[in-house]
Amino acid sequence: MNRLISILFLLVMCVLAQADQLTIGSVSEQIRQAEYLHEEARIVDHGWVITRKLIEQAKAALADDQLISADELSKLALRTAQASVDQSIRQEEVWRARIPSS
Amino acid sequence: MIRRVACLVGLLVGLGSASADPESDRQALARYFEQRFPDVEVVAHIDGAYALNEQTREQWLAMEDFPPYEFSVDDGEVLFNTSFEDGSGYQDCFDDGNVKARFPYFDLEKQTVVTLELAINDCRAASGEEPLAYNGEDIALLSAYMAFASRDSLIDIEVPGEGLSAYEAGKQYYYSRRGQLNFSCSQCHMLMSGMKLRAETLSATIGQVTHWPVYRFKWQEIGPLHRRFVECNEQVGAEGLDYQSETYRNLEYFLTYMSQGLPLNGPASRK
Repeated sequence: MNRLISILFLLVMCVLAQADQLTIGSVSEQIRQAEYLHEEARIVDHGWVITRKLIEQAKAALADDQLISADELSKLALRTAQASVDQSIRQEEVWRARIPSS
Repeated sequence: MIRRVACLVGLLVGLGSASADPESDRQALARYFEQRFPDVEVVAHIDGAYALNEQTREQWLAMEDFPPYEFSVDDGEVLFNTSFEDGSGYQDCFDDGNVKARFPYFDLEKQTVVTLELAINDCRAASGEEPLAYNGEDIALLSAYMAFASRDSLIDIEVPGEGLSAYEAGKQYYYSRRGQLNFSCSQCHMLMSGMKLRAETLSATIGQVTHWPVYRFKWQEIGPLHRRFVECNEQVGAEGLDYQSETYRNLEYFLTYMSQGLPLNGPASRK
């Protein structure tokens, strides 16, 4: 029983510690990075719809003081934005392979 | 020495294929579809997916008895024949409207691809008229009338040396995967052409531009090719671009050259 209480206590502490580390500034920075990468992809016509949606949702969550939710959404946005940039770089290298040979 | 010569030859061959000329591209694509659909003549692809599926073709032909774009053509004709405030009109720019076969073209002065929609607004600007919205009804009606007036004309566009980079940009766009689903235009309209995507048969690349603008039942109105580009992009999770953006004009340029010599059959109706 004592062990269970200890584990629960540790879990609660972990969650609280994580929440402590999250700040409006850190989440805002993640959103800013996602926006930057999304724009990088957009410039070369490789923007993804999902990234824009996630950025908007992260901003809305942040404005609503839902820091944990905003953090998760901005991380997802960052991941999809990075994937879209990676896609644009990869396609630059391989697109010609799809042309039927003359 | 032999190795060096072999390397040089290999490099030249590689470069040759990397910058194939538009006519070689078109012929290679036509051969691709001839092999993929040996029972379908290349010219039949102007009917899109209806060239590939007998059952839906019959339904579509029945629908064409009373085509839903008929009123749009009539309204477009009225607009086409309405004079501008300075007394000039569209006839001064486009004669009787039978000009679509020569669009898009590469404007050497502006160093950009000029589509019919862009030319319509250039014509208006020359007479001091406000430009029409590219996603608006009037420009779709005007181009519907001009497509109708151009019916059966064979696509006859040119890609001059200075236009090659625009053509290549359009080609690159067509063959590049994009969006969260990681699809390229060519995957759907080459590799998967003739196959079903849900209930729809995917059309071939060749003939895709011959019948625009199109009345789509999904839209409940007539709309331009670039609207379909946006829709295609969004279907694979990519952000659609602005109508008449440089990227879409380049894409239209490439696609039109791939249909070079085919008869125009717009406007058309599609599901």
